[in-house]
Amino acid sequence: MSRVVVAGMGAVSSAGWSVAELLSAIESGAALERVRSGYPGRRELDALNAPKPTKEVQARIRHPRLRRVSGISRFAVAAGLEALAEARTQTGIETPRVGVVFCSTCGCVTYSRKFFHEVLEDPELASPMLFPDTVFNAPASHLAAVFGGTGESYTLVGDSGTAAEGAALAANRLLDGAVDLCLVVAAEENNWLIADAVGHFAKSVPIAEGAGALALTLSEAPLPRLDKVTDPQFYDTAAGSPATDALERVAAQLGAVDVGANDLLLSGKGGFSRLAEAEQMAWAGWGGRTMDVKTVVGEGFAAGAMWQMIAAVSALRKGAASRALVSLPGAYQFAIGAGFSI
Amino acid sequence: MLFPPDNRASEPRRVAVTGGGLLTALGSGWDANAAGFREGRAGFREVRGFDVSRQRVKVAAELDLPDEMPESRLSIREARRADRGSRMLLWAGKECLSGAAWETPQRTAVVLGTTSGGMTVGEDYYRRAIGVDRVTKGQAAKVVHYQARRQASLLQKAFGLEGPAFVVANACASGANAVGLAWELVRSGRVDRAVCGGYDALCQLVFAGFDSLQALSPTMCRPFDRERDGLALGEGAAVFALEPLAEARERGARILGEIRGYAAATDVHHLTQPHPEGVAALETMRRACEVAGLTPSEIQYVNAHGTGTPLNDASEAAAINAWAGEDAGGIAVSSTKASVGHLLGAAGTVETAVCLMALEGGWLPPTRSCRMPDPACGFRVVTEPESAPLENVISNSFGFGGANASLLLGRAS
Repeated sequence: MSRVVVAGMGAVSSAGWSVAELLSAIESGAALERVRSGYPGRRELDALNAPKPTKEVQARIRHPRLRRVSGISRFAVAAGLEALAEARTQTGIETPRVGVVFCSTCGCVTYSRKFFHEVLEDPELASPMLFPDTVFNAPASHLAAVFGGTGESYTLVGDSGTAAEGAALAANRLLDGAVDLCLVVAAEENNWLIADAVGHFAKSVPIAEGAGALALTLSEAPLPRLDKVTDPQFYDTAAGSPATDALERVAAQLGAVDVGANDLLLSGKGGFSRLAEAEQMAWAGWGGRTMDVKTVVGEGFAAGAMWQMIAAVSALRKGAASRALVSLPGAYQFAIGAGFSI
Repeated sequence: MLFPPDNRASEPRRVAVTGGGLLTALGSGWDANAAGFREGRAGFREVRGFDVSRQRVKVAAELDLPDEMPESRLSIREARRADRGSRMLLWAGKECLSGAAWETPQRTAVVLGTTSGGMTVGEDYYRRAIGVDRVTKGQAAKVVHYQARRQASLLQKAFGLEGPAFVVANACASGANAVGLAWELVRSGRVDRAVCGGYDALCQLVFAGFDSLQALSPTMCRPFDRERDGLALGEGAAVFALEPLAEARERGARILGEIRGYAAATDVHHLTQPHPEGVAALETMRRACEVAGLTPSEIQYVNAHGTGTPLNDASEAAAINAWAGEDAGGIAVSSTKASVGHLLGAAGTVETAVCLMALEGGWLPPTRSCRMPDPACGFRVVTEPESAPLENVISNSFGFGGANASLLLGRAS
């Protein structure tokens, strides 16, 4: 068996705490609630925050480990559990060896910022309760603890497309026989510090928080399959290596030729405008349909990349496409792409 | 293509380490460190890089970085902007790749482990962001250099490494995970070459974090000592070149050792405390041996995670006892964190380097600060320098979040 399929999905976004709410928002295209985020009195950006979880969601993610965690861990756990539950229904496997690949660009910024602020004020009073949840792999650890996963767990950090790298790592570990099912989860949380940092590069990008998850496994069942993940294509505009070139290489590796009416491109439009322009140029010859996700749910970095992949898989499930390509122009360093089909 | 891989070996390939470079508080370079670890020297001092005056503990194994940058393809501007962690990584990378002496360019995967990435840059950004004067000049560059992936990109660019790159942030197991994943990439035939390693520079947030947890020793880092009272932090980097053993032999490369097994598992007991019986550590040691086709009786030495905290060492001792069973008494164990401190994301890689040095030189690195081994240790704790013929050794790494990893390394034969 060598087909890597998507057996489950999970999501938390400003649209709500489920894949259904994410997809419904993308489909309707209606504007979601935005707030302003930034250091008081300085440049601010629009931010799309996850809504307060409903009682049903709270019950689903209730666990002693999550009593004092910040948003990123709650998002990761909620999305991961949703994907795992669906995968277990789809595959009928109750207790396979489950691996976790967690991906993030900004990491656990809320507690990191808060703890460091306390350190600067008085290190003798800095809270030991905060520090453990500053580490990048805290969300992966909480997720594993909640569902009792003792298998391999890797936290990958990097640009937005790290979520696609995580999917590739998971797929390869499945083929290696190291795990039977692998949750690939990407999550981010909003904070004024992110708005402050992003604001140096873009005046109007809407930053978003939440999580997305794919449950991958090997199966011959007629489920959407992960066909390919390209190599990351690095760009450095200042050094004469523009994002357009990187995105063109991504498009070429994804096989953006012989495009049919049932082919769908999930673009990165709606995030950083300079990257959207580069992407448009790189995919100028694309003859299939295009769907934008970030225009509705915002720039969610690694989580946003996962939302794009979720939208791609959903289109395949619904029969709205037979092939879905995902273009992931990273905010700072590299572009990457993923291809799915059914 | 990251997936599906362009190539895949029909049978797992044996993987050799043909280059290694490192920096620790014991010095710069393989030979200086080998001499220090063999003697069991310690490299601690009061931290100079940031203010520790109000910290409970003030010492760490801080290293002296060379003033200049290694020769590379980076521009003067890029080299000048490199943060402390990047500089360590580039020095280690330079030594590693000089030793590997790869002459023909090939697709080379880069897999690195870190816990903090460019945190020193991030701290500087934050101080300015909340400062009264709110300086904005240079802040955009700091955002770019803070990105956790930035150091990997610099390493790739500096030495012309073309291929995929992964940055693993699995807390204190990051380095071991990076070596293990790189090993899997070469072993499976997905790539023919990999550069892997780990790095972490001391930074105020992390130092204060461990201090706030009262995990830092107020006396001295004494792994496996019955009166141990905490860990000591350190900083550094180690980088390795991996390639198929057959190809390394064919080109007459110097083979530092062979990676024979790797396993990772998750301890879900607690975010920061290991399971008292070390169940995940036991699992990774057992599985690393299974992958290598070896039994505990064929392992002569374990380079323990051995942080020196009461809980870690008790848990690891329980795991080693259970794993080795009746062979435990014949296995030598030490923790080199007594020499260079806990290097966090670099710990697993520096300790891999120590294992390779010991395998090649036929010696055991002592934990000299351990004066009265904890009676819970069913194995022999090495406390004085000694010679020993070694064939197979294990390096353990465990991290916050329950990230556990074991690497099994063998002598080049």
